[in-house]
Amino acid sequence: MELINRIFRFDNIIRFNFRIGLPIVFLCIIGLIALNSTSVDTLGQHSVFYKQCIWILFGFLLFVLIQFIRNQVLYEFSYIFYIILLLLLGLTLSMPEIKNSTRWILVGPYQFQPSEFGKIIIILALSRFISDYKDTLSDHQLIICSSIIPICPLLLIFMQPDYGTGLMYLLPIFPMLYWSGVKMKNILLYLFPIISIITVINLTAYTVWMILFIFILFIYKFRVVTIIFNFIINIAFGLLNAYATNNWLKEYHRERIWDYVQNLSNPDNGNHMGIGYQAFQSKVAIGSGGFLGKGIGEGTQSYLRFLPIKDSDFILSVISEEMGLFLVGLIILAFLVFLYVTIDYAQRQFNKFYSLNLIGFSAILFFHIVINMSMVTGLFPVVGLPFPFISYGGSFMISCFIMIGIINNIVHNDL
Amino acid sequence: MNSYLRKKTLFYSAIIIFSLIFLRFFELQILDYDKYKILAGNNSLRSIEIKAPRGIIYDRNGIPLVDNIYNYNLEIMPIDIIDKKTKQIYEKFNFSLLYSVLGIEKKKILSKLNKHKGGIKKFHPFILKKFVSFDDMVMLEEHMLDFPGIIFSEVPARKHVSDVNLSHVLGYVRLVDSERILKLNHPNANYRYSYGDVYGYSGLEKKYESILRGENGAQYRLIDYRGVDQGVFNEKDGKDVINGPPLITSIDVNFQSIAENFLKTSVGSIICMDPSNGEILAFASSPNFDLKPFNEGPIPQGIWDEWNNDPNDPMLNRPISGQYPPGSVFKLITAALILKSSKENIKYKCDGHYTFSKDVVKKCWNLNGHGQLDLKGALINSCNVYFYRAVETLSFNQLIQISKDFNFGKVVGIDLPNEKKGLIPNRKYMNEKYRYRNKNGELITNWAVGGAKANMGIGQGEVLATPLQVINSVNYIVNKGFAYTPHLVKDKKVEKKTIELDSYVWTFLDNAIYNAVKHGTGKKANILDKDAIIRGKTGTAQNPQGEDHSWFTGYVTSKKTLNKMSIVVLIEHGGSGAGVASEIAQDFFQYFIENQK
Repeated sequence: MELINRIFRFDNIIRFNFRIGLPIVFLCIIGLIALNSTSVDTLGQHSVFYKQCIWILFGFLLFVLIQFIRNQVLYEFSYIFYIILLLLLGLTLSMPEIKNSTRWILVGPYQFQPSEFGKIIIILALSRFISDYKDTLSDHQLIICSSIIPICPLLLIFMQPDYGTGLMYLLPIFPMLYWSGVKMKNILLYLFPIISIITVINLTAYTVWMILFIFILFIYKFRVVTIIFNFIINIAFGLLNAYATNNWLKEYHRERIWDYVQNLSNPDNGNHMGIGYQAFQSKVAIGSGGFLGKGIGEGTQSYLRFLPIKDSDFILSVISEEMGLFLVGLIILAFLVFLYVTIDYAQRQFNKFYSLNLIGFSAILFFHIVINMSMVTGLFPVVGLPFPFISYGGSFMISCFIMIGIINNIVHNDL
Repeated sequence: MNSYLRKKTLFYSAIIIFSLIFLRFFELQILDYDKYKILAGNNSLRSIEIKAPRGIIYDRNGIPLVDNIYNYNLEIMPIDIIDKKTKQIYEKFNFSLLYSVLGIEKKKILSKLNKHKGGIKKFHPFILKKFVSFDDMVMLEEHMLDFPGIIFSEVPARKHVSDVNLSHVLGYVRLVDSERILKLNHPNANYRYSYGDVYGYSGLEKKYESILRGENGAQYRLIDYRGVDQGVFNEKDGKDVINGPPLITSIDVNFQSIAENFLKTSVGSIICMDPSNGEILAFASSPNFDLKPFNEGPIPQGIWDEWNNDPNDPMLNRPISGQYPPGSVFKLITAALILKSSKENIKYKCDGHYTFSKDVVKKCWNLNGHGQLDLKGALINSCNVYFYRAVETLSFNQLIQISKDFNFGKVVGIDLPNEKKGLIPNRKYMNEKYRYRNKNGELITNWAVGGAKANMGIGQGEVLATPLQVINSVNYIVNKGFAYTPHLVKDKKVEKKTIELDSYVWTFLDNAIYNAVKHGTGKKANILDKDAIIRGKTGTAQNPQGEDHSWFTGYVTSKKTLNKMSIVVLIEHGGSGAGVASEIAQDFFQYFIENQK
């Protein structure tokens, strides 16, 4: 009983922050409309649509439940959650493979993807670590130590392998560190190698980047030693990438990335029926939508099954085909409202842990949206990251609602 | 720390990133709109599947047995039949012509169309009429402009072009349906079927399905907003059709038609084959069914029911799925064991009957008795009593073993589906079959090894064999110790099975069946041609269903060419093997020898 009282409080009056909630409701509705129009299966039933309704309902229930939790608990339990996450990820490796990947834990007929909920746990653990040690550690110490937190589960996830989710563990660390007060130029030093790794795929891009990189190093007035050291590291990372693509990535990853590069350099080449088929058809679907779209239910591309995974990762191409640029703009605006409100609350929040939570969760959603949108427009390789609140999918929908729940709880109920 | 600045930095960088993404959408949806609209919007890319023609089946001399034809379905593509401006069927659509040619009313089209108008269905053609005749199709295609949205889809079918029936060998194909597609396209399958494909359902069509089907191709075609095909979008993107390669069978149409003629009036099977390589020349099962109705779409229910309700079961592939007591032809196997045990010279007296026990007295077919006989004499006269006495000295297990060596009681491995094993009873089988509980509830097994042996020695009792197994056992004798697995495809590499026995044993058996035809029960199979050497063994199999089955198995050697042909004839309820079966075999031998010149 005492434990329950420590975790929950029942005297709480639940209040919803509509500035946060309305954009989310908007996204959910758009997602349902899109699913309703695309997901008529062969029997003429909307099974995916109804399932999505159930997931949203379930997510909302979790959202309400979270409003009863004392936020202090998140701080206290964050490391325990983290340990559990590591154990569960280790467990997935012993699970049978589904589609060449072991990211699921199978409990009877149910599948459970711990790495999905890991995104939340990583944010909690990072927030706690950064808020605890910000004042005692130097910038560099803090960056290195806190990056260990996402890297441990990241290695396990790479063994599954699931690179899209892995990306989501690593990216939020940068805005969070910046928010906690680490200097921009120190963060950039650690960001550069990542950019090097990505740009080395294309030699021209790498050269341009390297010139820009030296330029930035001088602008920020680093010491000469740092500049030289960083330069060497960046070249080393570039080389490492070549090794990694040959040894770590699976065949289909390599094909996808190669196809992506091909597509960027020569967007109209004929080989669209290979593995880049999806990306190309997605572009055709989006492009043919125009400003106002073809009308709901009129998208020829998605109906003709040119878009293979139109329900989940590629739902945005269906939306932009049927509802046009206009709605894409609205979606971006809605999310920007949400983002502004959350960052605004984070600034007004005095507790560093809570403040970092807000930044971390909104960063996760932000990166999902950015990468997903770049993916469907062919700016980024197909990595399989869904669009929050719109794409079809159980685990991700629930973890999104948990994040929103925590944000709402911090903002409104436990000041 | 100035957190207001940090807030601004974070938010502005988010705005910048989103602006870039929005610009990308702007580029695709506004700037490149026209380009993508052509690629997608009103013009659409459709993947059209090109069905691979199935391999043609030939006889050994290149005479086609099965060819391909196409039937035609009349289909309607909902999106193409509807005028986009009025949302109604195009006014020019010529309902009256369609009615006069095919008798389809406007009402029917409208009601079907209403079901397929909404959502995803409007991009999938639906079938208006199945199996439109070729003439009607040509007639309508001439007026194609009057019929926007009409498609004639080809339904592949098989045409049986030869005079012989061969129904059990060739088999037939079926259209893939939704239920079957799940079964065929199981996760480990290396070939994906699609709707409208056919697959081999029986016979060679089934056995060689993976070869005959070839591989479907695909084309991406650009269809413009008027529903007009603008041709192939990009040659490279398609997939070439791989035609099914021809299948040359070992069947000889001439032998086959003789075999089928002989069996027209009776129930039974004939297999003719070349023992030197295992190729089957004729394979007839009677009664059989006509494959021609399969050419035009699904077979009418009436015909199907008639076949299935026929008491003679025309669907049963008798040469490999019919299991009969082999009767006296099985004595050759017993004889092989007697020879192996070097007991061929022991003489037994046959006085027409054999007292097995007080109640059981078994008779020889010659009630007067054959007198003193050794193995040679017993085989010539097919004397039962000799074999009853001879197997007394042999063990049951030895008898089972030699039967298995001759491939009885297990499948021979012909390249046709549904081959049966026959039956060689062992102790376990007998224990299970002849077991009952007596009054006290004790389990009693009521059979005697002696009786089982005696029955098995003359191929009666529990023993069951298929005609294929019988001809296979003769092939061992022809080749003196080995046989090739019988098969229906010419020049196919097959397994060579050997039985380790003294060459003396094979010579003895060979001579015995020579004498059986020359002087003994198989006289009627002999032909008066100095070029031919005929060998064979008759069998008269008693069976509980009625009159005896008539067996003959043997082979002919041409002295001129040294070619050989082995044969098995089984006529159900045909009486003595010395009669009808031998006569049929004789005609085959005659035909074979005449064609060796």
